Amino acid sequence: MPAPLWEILRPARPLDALGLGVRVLPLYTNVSYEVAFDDENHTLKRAIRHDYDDAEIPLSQPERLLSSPLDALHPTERPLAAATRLLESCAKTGSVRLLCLGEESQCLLRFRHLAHIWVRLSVTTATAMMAYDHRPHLDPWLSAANAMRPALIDFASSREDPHLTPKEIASLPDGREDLEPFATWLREDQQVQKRVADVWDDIVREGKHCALPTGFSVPRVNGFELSDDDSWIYLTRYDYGPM
Amino acid sequence: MSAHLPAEDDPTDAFPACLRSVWKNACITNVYGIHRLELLTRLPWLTSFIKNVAVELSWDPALDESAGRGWHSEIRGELGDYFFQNRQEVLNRLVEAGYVGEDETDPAYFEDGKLKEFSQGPDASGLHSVIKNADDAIKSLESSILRLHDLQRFVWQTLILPMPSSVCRHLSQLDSLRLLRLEQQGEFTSAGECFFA
Repeated sequence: MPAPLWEILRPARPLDALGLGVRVLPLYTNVSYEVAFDDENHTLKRAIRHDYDDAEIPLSQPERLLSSPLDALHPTERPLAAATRLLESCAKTGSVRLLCLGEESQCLLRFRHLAHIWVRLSVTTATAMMAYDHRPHLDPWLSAANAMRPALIDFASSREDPHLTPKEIASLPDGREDLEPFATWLREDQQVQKRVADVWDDIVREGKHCALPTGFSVPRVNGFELSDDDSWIYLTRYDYGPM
Repeated sequence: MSAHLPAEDDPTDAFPACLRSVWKNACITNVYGIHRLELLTRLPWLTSFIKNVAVELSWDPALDESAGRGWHSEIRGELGDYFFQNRQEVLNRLVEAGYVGEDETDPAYFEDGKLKEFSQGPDASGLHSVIKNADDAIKSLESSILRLHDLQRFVWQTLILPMPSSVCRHLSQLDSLRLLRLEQQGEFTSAGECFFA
């Protein structure tokens, strides 16, 4: 039985960074010959076939990814469910300071059931880390994810009571171009609004609603300093010497 | 060497930093690496020096120069083939799958118009003197990692083997762990059962 990866996380021992490169979408062809992976019409299969490039990957009833046991889910969805549980655990426990999504996991930014995660969790991608300081890296989904927390701070700072209702979350994208990829979800999806409002409420209760954690503005493992940890989180350095 | 062994209760003081760093990083890419890690971790005075471990068991070593052609994701094999870098077995699978055979001038697979033959195991006698099969390799790797209590960075990146639960539990208990990278947990390419089943 493979490990429940989310159990590695512990609030009492926050990780400086988590690199997540688990393959979320199935392979283009069913190379393992598992019958369950043959469903060509499954949303995740369509996603790997470029049906949703640069757009939301529209998974129906995503809440079942959390509520159902893994073995009750369609096998194609199990890695996504595992990644969802891992991210939920990161966000709930505050056990990861910076998340770095590898190539096979970057699509997690395009699932609406994870939109609230980015309020808690600063995120970067391996592609962005590699490009850091060399050339501008423009990924609107990544920018939107990291814009959630600053947008909420701005929004709440203009109010007497920093707590926000789900209805108020609907106006969060107004005037914020950086939130454009998430704008429809925030404006129209009540579940997204509620989840974002709930996460923000928790942050307010913890008194962390005024300051922006550094990971949201500086995608480096150790704050402003560039260190070995930054490359380690997306790439194994060859000077280990293979054993 | 034994004359220079430090006291077990305070190993870090007994070794200069440059010597400690010799064992600091370990990247395990095949069965030989797994065995070497097991030998190292059987020395209690040494385990605290091992801070960073990357388990990167890819299919590429078994494919050798054919790596990079994309075959690794196109064939299904058994764990042992990859642990033991059994190129002959992988070649057989490539032929069966129809990926090799049409271009008889391809030097990666053909010599004088005939398919190459590779001598690597595992065979009946076993390729490795201690680790005889994939189960041995997994057990060895698992038990080695469980002996490491001062890990700071850990990578699990394998197409062939999801992280065992025991390793997961062990990592959850390490106060020293700072960085974790989880890649390619064998999802969608498992031999025999679906990942996360």
